[in-house]
Amino acid sequence: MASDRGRRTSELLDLRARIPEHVVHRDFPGETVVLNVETGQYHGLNATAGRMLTALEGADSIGSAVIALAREFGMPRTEIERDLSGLCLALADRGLVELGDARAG
Amino acid sequence: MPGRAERAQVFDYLAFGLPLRSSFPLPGLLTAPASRNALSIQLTSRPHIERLWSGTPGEPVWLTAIDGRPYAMELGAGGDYLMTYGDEAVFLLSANVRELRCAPAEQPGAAWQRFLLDTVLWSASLLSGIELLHASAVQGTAGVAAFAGFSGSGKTSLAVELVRRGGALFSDDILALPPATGELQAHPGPALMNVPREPETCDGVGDLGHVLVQFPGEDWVTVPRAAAAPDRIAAICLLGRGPGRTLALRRLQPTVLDLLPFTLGFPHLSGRMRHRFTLFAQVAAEIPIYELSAPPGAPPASLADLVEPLLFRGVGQARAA
Repeated sequence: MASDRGRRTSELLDLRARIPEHVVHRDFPGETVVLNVETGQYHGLNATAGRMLTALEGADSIGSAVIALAREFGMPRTEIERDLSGLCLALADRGLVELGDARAG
Repeated sequence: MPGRAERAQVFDYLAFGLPLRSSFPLPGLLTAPASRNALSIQLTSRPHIERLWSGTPGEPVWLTAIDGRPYAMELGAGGDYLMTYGDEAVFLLSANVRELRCAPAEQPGAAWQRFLLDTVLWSASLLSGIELLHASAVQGTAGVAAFAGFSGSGKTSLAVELVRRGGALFSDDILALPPATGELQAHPGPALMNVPREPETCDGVGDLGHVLVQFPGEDWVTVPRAAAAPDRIAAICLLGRGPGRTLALRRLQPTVLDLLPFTLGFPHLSGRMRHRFTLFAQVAAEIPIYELSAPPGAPPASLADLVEPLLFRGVGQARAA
């Protein structure tokens, strides 16, 4: 969603990133391939972005995914917040994730 | 006019993972036990097909030329498919992929039967839910090695060479992959090949099999040494032939994107994308995938030297970089 572009990182952290029904993905060594069935377009994510997508899928909010990834990568939380927020917005622009209220469903 | 006994005769076959029950004999097909789910193949007349087809006001779902003849595949309002192969034949496939009616312009005729045993049958296989890879394939002691490539890349010539070295023909052009819950298995195509009559790329039919018909530039051949059952896929080689390439076999670290260019699908079946993605992602993850590259003039024997160890156990190590 284009409006997500204007969202501040702090607002994004409270949201949850859901992979919609029309998106299917598979991890391969070195790359994750994502298919948007609605548009017929394939997208490639590098290993780090692929790991972030998996973390988002299992987290109840983007903020909690940040905590898990910062621990896993041994990186400062602020750096992960910046990278993960950018990834979430890029994925949302392409219809590969939907950003919504973390408390819903 | 066929007699009473002849009219009652049926022939049960299997091709591209699809059980078939034909009212007339077809060359090069695996005989199989009768199946309740078989696609029934019957001869009829063109006017009869025109009466049966549910008809469509829309554009054909596939319009192309095959072997110099125009080909149109049209989707009817009732979900049936009308396939018109030039002036040679018209085919009508029912919406549930259980009945195929064939109306050839002349019987017997070779061109329409070749078209039936290739494009029409693999289309039916695809429409029944089986996924397809554009590849020739040969079966050896290690399983099936498939050679995926675009037209003119040398798939058939390489398969001919490997059959001559003791392999069994698995498919000339299309590899069928039914949905799998466990180990992926490929299903063989007809034991038929279209062997190019070009001395520089192929030595001709020789002892490969029996020439059914000579078409311009190629022989339609039945191959006695052919696979009789589904088998596991031992390797897939992506054939790349072109100027500047050197002869080499290289193991890839593939993703599904490496295979998708060689898969078959109809544009109107976009709902199949998810299934195709899932199946070929499994293929990419579980089966060794190689890039087999060669310059334009490389003889099939030199390519076969590289891939032979993938096919036969105990023939040394695959010469992959």
